[in-house]
Amino acid sequence: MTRRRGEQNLKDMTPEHGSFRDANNRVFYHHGEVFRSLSAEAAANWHQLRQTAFFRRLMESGAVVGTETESRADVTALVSGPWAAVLRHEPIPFISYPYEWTFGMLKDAAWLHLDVLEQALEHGWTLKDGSAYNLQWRGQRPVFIDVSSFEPYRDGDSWTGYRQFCMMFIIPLLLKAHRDIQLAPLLRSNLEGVDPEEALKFISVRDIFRRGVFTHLYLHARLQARAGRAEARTSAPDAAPAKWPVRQTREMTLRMVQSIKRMVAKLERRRGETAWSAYETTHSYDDVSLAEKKGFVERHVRGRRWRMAYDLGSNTGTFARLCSEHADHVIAVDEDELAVDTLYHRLKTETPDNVTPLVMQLSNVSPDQGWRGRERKSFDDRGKPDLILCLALIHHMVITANIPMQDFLQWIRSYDAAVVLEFVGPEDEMTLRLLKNKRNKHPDYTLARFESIAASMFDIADKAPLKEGRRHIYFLQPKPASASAQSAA
Amino acid sequence: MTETPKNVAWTALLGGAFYLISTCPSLAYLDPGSGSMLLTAILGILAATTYTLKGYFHKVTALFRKNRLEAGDRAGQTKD
Repeated sequence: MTRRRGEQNLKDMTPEHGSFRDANNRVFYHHGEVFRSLSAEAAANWHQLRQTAFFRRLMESGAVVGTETESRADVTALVSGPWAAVLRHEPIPFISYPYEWTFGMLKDAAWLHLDVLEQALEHGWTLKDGSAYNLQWRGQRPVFIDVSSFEPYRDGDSWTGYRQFCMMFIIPLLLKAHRDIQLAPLLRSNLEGVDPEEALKFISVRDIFRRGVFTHLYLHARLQARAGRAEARTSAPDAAPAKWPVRQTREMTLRMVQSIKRMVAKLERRRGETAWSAYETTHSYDDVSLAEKKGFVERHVRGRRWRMAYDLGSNTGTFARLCSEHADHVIAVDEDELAVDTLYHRLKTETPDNVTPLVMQLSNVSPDQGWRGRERKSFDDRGKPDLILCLALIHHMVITANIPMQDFLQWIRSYDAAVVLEFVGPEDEMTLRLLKNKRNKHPDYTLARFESIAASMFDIADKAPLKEGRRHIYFLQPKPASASAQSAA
Repeated sequence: MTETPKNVAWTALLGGAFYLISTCPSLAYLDPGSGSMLLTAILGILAATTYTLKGYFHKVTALFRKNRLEAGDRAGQTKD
């Protein structure tokens, strides 16, 4: 009986496939909770670390994820072999990745990482790496999640994670700040970050003298290339691992980290405007129609407490913020980085702090990728919303991205959530603008067809015209899967 | 590969630095990269030196500030 229960427990244990690089620990999930198994060495570190005042302060302030030693026998029994201890972490509402963050988010995450490292160094500890994947978002606040990254500072060492930190944080930030290169495609295709030598190809001679570039990018690339050539000339297959070229002191590493932190804090993006960044002043609504739209959304959103709401095509987040009072967590997604960054900066001064803004092309959401396509999960597999706002998005998906209307609605239906959807009709000036240069005028993009497809998958619980009938807004409840299959047939 | 004087000098500098003042090897799971290790060494020295010099600078300027403050106080007292 006990054995059977043990086997059942093991079946309920889901490993986190992105947690394998550091052999000293593994993250896994069990009955909706997050755990981390530790090797004997990591467990010894943890027992020292949890007694330090600086670490307790970091947890209390929310800078580091809440963590406790797990003592329940049914959980500790899940791990065997090299694992000496199990930790339980406070769950993060939605896992996001650096290639979904804006410039401001990446900058704040970098700053927090350096701040945690600075405090660790001040108290005789260090961080063994510098990965952007060690940070997550609790609403609009970054949080450092990898407690096994803390280790006692060893006299003579510098910061091992410096190169990784440069590749994942500093170089992308410099490229965005000085060259306005989009972070999302760059970091989505380079999961380990941007190599300094590769980044050198993006910058001009003038850029070398801009803040942070000479040291962390130019000199870094040159030294790396030179060291690579020097190593290639030395034929020593049994050579010992590389050693720190200069005996470092904790003071030197601490001052270096503080200087990088100051540099990161001063980085600013280039000023500019995109099609959607000033949406609140340039949208096509008059005050009355906008009030009607807000009224409709609010009426259906405030009816209950939502666990997780997605605002797909959120722009500068007017409706995501409206939802935030009625939901535990809100994920606001848009493909316009500046619009999302504008939202992020606005959110930083607001409460409730439960909105996480993300940058993503909705016609090409983040896929499964990394080692065996399992290391970083697709956007579709990461969250389970019970409410979706999909306002004035459908015409972009159907007309601009040429996604069939049926496919698009099936995608929305696949979340099995209630949906507030705004259909932008074919006579609306925004639709006409999208159709202007297209030979295919999408004759099947009609209100009647939309309603027919929507009705096959959802119950249309409420509907209202907007902008004198050129748009319509709907509150849709998903039909049970069998019913929607019958309607479709 | 051609051994230019520049290359020889560079290898000597790098090798010398590695040989002369090295510590025990890093056992972390990450490869810190030889070039990056050299850079962190340079940055560490620069940051620590700048910090120390700034400290001295503040101490020196504090002397003048103190003098000015005292002079100001005296001036204030005379005025009263």
